[in-house]
Amino acid sequence: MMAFISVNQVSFAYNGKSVLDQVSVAIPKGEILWVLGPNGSGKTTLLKLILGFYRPDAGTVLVNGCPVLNLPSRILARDIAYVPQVHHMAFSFRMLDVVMMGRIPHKPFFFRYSKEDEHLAESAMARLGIVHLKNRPYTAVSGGERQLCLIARALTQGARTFVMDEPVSGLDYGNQIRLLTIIQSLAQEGYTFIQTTHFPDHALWMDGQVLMLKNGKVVREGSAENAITRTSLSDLYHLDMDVTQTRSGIRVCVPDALTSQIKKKSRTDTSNDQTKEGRNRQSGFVLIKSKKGDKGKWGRDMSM
Amino acid sequence: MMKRFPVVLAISLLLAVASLGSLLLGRYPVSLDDMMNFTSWSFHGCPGGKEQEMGLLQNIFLDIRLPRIIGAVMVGSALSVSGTAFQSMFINPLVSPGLLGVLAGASFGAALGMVFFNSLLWVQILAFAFGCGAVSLSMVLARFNTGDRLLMLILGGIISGAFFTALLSIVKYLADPYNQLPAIVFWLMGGLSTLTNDLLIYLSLPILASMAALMTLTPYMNALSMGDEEARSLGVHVGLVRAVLISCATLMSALTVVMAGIIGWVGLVVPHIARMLIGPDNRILIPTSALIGALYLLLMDDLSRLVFTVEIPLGILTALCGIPFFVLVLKHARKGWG
Repeated sequence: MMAFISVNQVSFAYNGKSVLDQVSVAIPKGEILWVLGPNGSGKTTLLKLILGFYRPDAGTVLVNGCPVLNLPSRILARDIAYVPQVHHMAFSFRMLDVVMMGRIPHKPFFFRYSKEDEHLAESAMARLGIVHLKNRPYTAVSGGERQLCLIARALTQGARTFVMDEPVSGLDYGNQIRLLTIIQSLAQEGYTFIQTTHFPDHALWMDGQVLMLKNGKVVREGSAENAITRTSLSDLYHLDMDVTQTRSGIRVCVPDALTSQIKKKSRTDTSNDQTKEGRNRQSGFVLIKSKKGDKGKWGRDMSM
Repeated sequence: MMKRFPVVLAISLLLAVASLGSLLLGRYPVSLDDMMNFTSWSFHGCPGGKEQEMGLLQNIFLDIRLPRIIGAVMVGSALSVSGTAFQSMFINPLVSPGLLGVLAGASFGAALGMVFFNSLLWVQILAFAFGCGAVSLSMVLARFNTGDRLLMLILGGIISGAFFTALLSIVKYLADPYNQLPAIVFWLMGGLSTLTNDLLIYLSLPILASMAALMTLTPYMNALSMGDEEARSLGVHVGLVRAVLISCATLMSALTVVMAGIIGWVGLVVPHIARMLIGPDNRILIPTSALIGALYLLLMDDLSRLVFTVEIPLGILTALCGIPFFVLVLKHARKGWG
């Protein structure tokens, strides 16, 4: 099967400084792709090349077999939606007005929004449980609600592929997990996700493909299960890392630099304390797992 | 943000009342009865043989006051709409229609016309040509550089504006200090006293056409306020839409200079007032800005005609009244663009 999006040997330099160097990746429909890498490794640039914002210095980006730069933005927008990092907006648009912008690629050049557009925007907001905020200004809601607003806009756009730049950044822990739940359930419906993240744990918990970038080069590629290992993470972040499996079967990343103190301490403590610590840690993870199950506040609306 | 429809209705009514009121205001006293009589006379003719009186009223209403009222409405709404469009497009609430150099270019053109051609027609032609030329220059300068398109445009505008301001100084320096220099200075202060019916008709059509064009693009203005990349990902042809927006806004601003000289502050203050009243959604903000701008400039022009026996230049009044307004608006600014 041909990949929906394929990035072939793409290189890109910004002001003479190489940002991406011969990067290739193929993304089939329905896939979750996690782009991992340290700051400045070229993650966001890769997303913007996929969206056709930049022209690669070498190589091509193909969407459905067609070079992305040849696609009119209106056509591309029906296939691929961009969910930017939660940002500050200069003007306080109503949430509904922001979501309704997703209808632009489906309208003729001169247009007015119809009742149906409004209805579509509202149902996307209802799906994410934020329809009660539709008349609130975007600038007056929380970061989590803004991110949901941008996702609702992407849903309204009708695109089946979401390109997301660090979607959980700036969200509190609960909202991070709730957002991941939403991504997961959309992925189960067949939506494709391409997202950058600074949390390898999230890729481990949700599975999918992983692309590790370092200094603009692909250093590791594969399923989250295979690609995220102790050595690959330690290489990627230049940091001693450990990937361990909890008793419930979930794998987690643990940085050695912080935990070595605890390890040292626990080594001098009695073995009794060690098992107690282990139990505590595990129960913590079990709690997260059960949250995934009952889907939380936002998750409930997803099943509609 | 208030309910949209009542606000727009209220402003429209105010504008209608102010326009009728302005017909009655002026040096020559005219009563409401006179206006009624004149209206019925112009429709049915008058049995009482008051031809002479009616002729005088016709002169006052149709040849002297009406052109000024329509001119004020045109200039006020054109400047406000182009200011609003620029603020949305440049995602910056502190931007005014002169951002890309149109006012500096037009001032230079007008001064050039006064010094070298000494005819009102040439002053108007050159003001328009150099206003558009200055904006073209800033767009060309922006093309030379890579990087953030919006930032490059703003920098291009600063350079182009500074360039034409310097050229204006040269023309002022060369001008005859007894006749030409005061004429330039006075003209740059703005005013509607030179407006004739003919000129008004020729200039109003392109202003109205540009305004109509901008109104059809308001959903895109909203998307452009999300930033170029986001707008593009939403399917907006950013380059094309922005070029049309800049062209229409520039055309309108340059034509206001032809009509009334340099009228400052309207294009900055009015969009803020409008945004405070009905929020930032350009679909309703642009028409509301047009109405408020028209009302604001009409009232300012009435002041300029009536307060002293000598007419106060309009540009001075809009600035003097605009500044305290702006201070008040800034206090509440968080509501509009916090």
